[in-house]
Amino acid sequence: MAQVFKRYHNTVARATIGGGLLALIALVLGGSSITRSPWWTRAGEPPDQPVPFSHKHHAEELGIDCRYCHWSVTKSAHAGVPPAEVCMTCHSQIWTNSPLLQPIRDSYEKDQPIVWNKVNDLPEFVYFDHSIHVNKGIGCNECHAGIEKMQLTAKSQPFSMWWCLNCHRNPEKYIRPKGEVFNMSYKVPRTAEEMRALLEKHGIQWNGKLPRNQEELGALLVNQYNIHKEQLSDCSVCHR
Amino acid sequence: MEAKRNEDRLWRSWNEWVDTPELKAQTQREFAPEAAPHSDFVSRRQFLKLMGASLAMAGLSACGYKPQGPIIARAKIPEEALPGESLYYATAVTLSGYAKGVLARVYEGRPIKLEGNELHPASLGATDAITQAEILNLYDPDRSQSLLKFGQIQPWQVFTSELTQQLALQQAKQGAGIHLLTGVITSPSLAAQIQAFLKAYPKAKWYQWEAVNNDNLYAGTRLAFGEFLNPIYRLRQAKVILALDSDFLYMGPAAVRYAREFADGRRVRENQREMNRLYVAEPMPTVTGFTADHRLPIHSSRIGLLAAAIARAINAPIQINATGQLTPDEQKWAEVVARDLMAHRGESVVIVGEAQPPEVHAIAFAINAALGNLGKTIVFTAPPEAKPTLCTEDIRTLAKEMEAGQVEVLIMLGTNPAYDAPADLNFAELIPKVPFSVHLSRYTDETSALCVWHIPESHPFETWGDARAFDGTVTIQQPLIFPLYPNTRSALELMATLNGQGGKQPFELVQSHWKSAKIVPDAQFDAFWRKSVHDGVMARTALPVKTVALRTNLSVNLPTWTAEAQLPQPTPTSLELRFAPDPTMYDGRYANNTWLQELPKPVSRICWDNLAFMSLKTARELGVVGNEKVAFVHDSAPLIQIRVNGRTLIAAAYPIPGHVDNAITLHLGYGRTRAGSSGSGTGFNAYTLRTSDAMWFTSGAEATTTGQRYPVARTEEHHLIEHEQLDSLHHRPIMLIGTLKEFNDDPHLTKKRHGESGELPSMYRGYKYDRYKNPNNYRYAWAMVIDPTVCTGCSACVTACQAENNIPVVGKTEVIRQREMFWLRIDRYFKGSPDNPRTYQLPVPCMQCENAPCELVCPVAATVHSEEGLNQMVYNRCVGTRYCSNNCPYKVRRFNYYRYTYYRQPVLHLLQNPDVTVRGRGVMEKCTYCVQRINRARIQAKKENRRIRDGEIVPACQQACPTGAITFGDINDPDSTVSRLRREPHLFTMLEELNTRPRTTYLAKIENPNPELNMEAHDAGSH
Repeated sequence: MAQVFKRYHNTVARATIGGGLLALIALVLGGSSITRSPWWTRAGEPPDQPVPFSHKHHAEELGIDCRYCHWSVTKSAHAGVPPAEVCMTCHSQIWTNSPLLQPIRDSYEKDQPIVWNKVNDLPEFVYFDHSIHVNKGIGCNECHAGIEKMQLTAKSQPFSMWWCLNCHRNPEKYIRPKGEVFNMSYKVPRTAEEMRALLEKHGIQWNGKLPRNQEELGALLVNQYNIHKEQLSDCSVCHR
Repeated sequence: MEAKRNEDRLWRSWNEWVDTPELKAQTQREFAPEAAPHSDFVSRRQFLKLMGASLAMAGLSACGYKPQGPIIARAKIPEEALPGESLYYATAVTLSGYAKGVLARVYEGRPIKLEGNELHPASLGATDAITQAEILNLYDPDRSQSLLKFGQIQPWQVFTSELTQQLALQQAKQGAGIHLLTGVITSPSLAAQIQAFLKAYPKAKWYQWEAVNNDNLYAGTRLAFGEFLNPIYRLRQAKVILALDSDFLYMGPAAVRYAREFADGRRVRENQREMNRLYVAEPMPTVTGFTADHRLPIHSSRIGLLAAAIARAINAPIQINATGQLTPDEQKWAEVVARDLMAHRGESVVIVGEAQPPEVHAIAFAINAALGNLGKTIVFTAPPEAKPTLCTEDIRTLAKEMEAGQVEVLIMLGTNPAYDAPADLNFAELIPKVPFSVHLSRYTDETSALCVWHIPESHPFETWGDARAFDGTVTIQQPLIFPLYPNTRSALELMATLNGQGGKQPFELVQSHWKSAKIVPDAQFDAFWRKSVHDGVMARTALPVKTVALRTNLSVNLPTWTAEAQLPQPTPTSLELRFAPDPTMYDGRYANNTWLQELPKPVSRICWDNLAFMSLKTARELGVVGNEKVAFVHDSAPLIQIRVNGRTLIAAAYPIPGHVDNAITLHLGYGRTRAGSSGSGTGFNAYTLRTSDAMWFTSGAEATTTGQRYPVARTEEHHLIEHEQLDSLHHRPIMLIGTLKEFNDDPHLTKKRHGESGELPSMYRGYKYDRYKNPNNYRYAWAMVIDPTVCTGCSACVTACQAENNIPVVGKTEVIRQREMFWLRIDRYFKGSPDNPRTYQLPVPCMQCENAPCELVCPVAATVHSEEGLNQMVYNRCVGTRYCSNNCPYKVRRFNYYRYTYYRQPVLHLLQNPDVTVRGRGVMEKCTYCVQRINRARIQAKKENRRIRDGEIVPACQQACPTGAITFGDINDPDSTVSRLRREPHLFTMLEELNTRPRTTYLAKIENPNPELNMEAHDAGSH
């Protein structure tokens, strides 16, 4: 009986096995990089909104504090989308005839809420609390990076679990003095003088050794703000 | 067989008492045989296809999350509202007119949870199960939403014009044809509206009807003192309490308060070694009976004789004419109790239940008077009701007038007489005879169906109102949510419409009433009003205590129960038939509340049904169970036919330990036909046997088996802890039980522990929680201590947990498959003979083991340990292997076999607690120690840069517990309440031999038996 398998079938078999493994690895790697990519998470993609509100104009150019509109951010889990009433504090005086603001005026007059589209969202099984983050030195633009530059508001971070855990496991990499939380132009001090000035400005004590970089500043702040790293990555902190 | 049994052994159900091999096999496996299989047939090939597809899709769906959906901000925001934060409002929940104060948590405009109001006299910060479940009534999708005339939807204008027409006709005859029927009303503003109406129509009549009423009590006070009075017990001062057929710890408008006061006299600690003593004589076990130190099963009809014997023994100033004899045992019991009462003059109290005739109430008042208890442990006020009345007389008179055709306009506010009026009145047949009948109610119930007009009633949480508590204290009920349905009206609004004030807002109606009540000068009224609404209690409205004196030459005739005359001694062929309010359905008004339907009833552990309860002996005699070996089928009970006075009812029968022989107890409130989609068609309607001359018990009943069976959801054998024979003589006990004397001799109760305790070696990863004991480090170790000595098993904690944690209801069929989802269950243990066993209740939440067996076996790390010692459950990781549950020795994990939280009616979505994940199908869940509350407190403390204070975190179960049996806190803080409790000598760890090191621990159950009444069960315990 003639041989069913020729010699070259060995190569085919090896290629199939090896290729199959490679394909599997490629699938996993490709899949995970696709799902982390902005194309999938829609980071950087502003959804349509009833009013084309510009954070760049209001927050950066006019310098309105975040808490003017999102006033519950320091006290509540929700930062809050401002009611039309808040918009009207200024827009009853300026741009009173702008057609772009018509939905705001309607909402205020008829006491009917504006239906915005979600920019950032978390799954139902994740519990995020704004107030504890801003009260413990996590700046607004750590998560809402570049919000002050956005003409139209878009998600700027993936908001996936590995991204959250990055900080929950190593908060010293991201923490800043509490007084700088709402400072959109905050930069980590580069020089010792800047560092000293920053710490003195916020009345932060350091023991002898002045921190030189974010890691050391972060470690100092984590200690001073009583942040317990071990506890931060407990599942029940976010899932309950 | 029975004689050989060790009397010290604990048993949880009949099968365990008999020790059937089937039950033994079942306890050894985690899941009941019927819990596991899936009913849909799937071929192997299809199974593989589905598995492959779901694997692929599960992988994909977990990969990313895209923002979607709208975000809706209010256009204008009230000053006090903070987006995402709850607000708490004080209001009251009423039952039979009486208020229980609550604080309602309102999240973004929707009430989601009720907590007790510490300022309210009937709450003292706690609630009962029925109050907890009130929130579900608000969102019940079966609530009536439209006005109906003969079942057709009509607008309000049609009703008001017809009403005006009718009233104009009646105006001429001063309202002689108008009859009002309401429930018991304590609301002063509603009563004022009714009085105003009666003034305008002087010949109109007002009747009140409650199926569970105070008739006997009021008639009893009239007998003893010459007027209707409202007794208030002060149990904190009472060292000896005798309850005669009274479930004062569970039923009644002050039960939550009484339970607290009773428990306060009972908390045994190392430095607090006194406790009160409770005697209960009753036919069927109740929550109170199960809590008693001595319980005597006795017929309802013979409790009068027992009271008479006690009265004679202490020379009470009352002349009692009675025939009939107590048995020698009963006589001895009476004498011993009398001696104990006499030894505690002024510090004892006798309480009689609503089912006992007025004469027995009068005897008890005379006993209390003779003991010098009046003014000390029992005080009297005027009744808090707007018009105290005898309900049975009222409904009888009304029925007569309807029969005679004198009723032309019948306006019913909220009652359901077509269902619950005495059977001999044939009320349902009389309603259609009334030409213009109006029924205001939250459901289109049995009565609505017979009336011309049905008006949908608003829920008290949607409108303004007021109500009095048991002591008269007024609570202003404030709306918590905008009315869900635009056409609903409250009774107050309907009465205002009748009075021609239809346009007035309920707020105006209530406020103007209190303004005119002149409690404070007008200038102070605004502040007074605001404080009253804010606190949930109105100052200076509690009724003053009255000084009362027993009528001289008081003499009562006890009906000759046991003589040959009216009521023969109960025998197997002439049974005593008893009626009692259902522990969760009450009189039937909660039939469509699925939380209360599914809550295992505190005594019987049955849910979704009422059964005909009887003793084991009677059950054998009637053929309900076999004579030789009792084999109890887990999912069904035999149907029997009960006949009494020519009326019959078929009901499922089930024996219950501790029931008196030759008697049947039926709970009211089941067998409804128009309760709603969940409440109709469950159980058996006891009202069909209840007549106006025998409202609570009757004699001469017969019962025969029908040969058919009825499915029963019997939870007593669900989630059983596997424990070798529960034999504390030879093994470590499942719970530590001792008497006060034993505790005084050795507070550690060492003899009873049977085994060394202390640190045992373990192969588990050692967590070191105490490394954070530095007070400047805000690190915690959570723990809970439960005190079974004061636990009454009332199950308020179970419903509170359900409300707080979005725990789904699964329905009767699923409960029969052992799939109920309660995170907290209450284990019930019996000890001794089933004729009158000792009973122990043990709430079992997740133990939060430090060496947790569940964590090791989870293949996906969905249940892991936290730094604070919590045994965390991560729903989004869980793939549903159920290994954890299989490995849990305490049986506290629950699995979602289906997607139980799936609401077709969107209104139910409003009910969900936003702080707790709603679990999907295929996910394991369990008690989390209310981790959402822990997180909230931790965040708050961190923001304020301080430690969480002791008592700042109160889990839902602890919050609701009327007796304060549950304590939660941080054991890294040596001064916390829970740390102090854990240092008590009688601390006990359940299944300590497994070395799971649970964070939930128990104190010993301490009993206070009277040495003169050495009950066998107590004897056996002290060898």
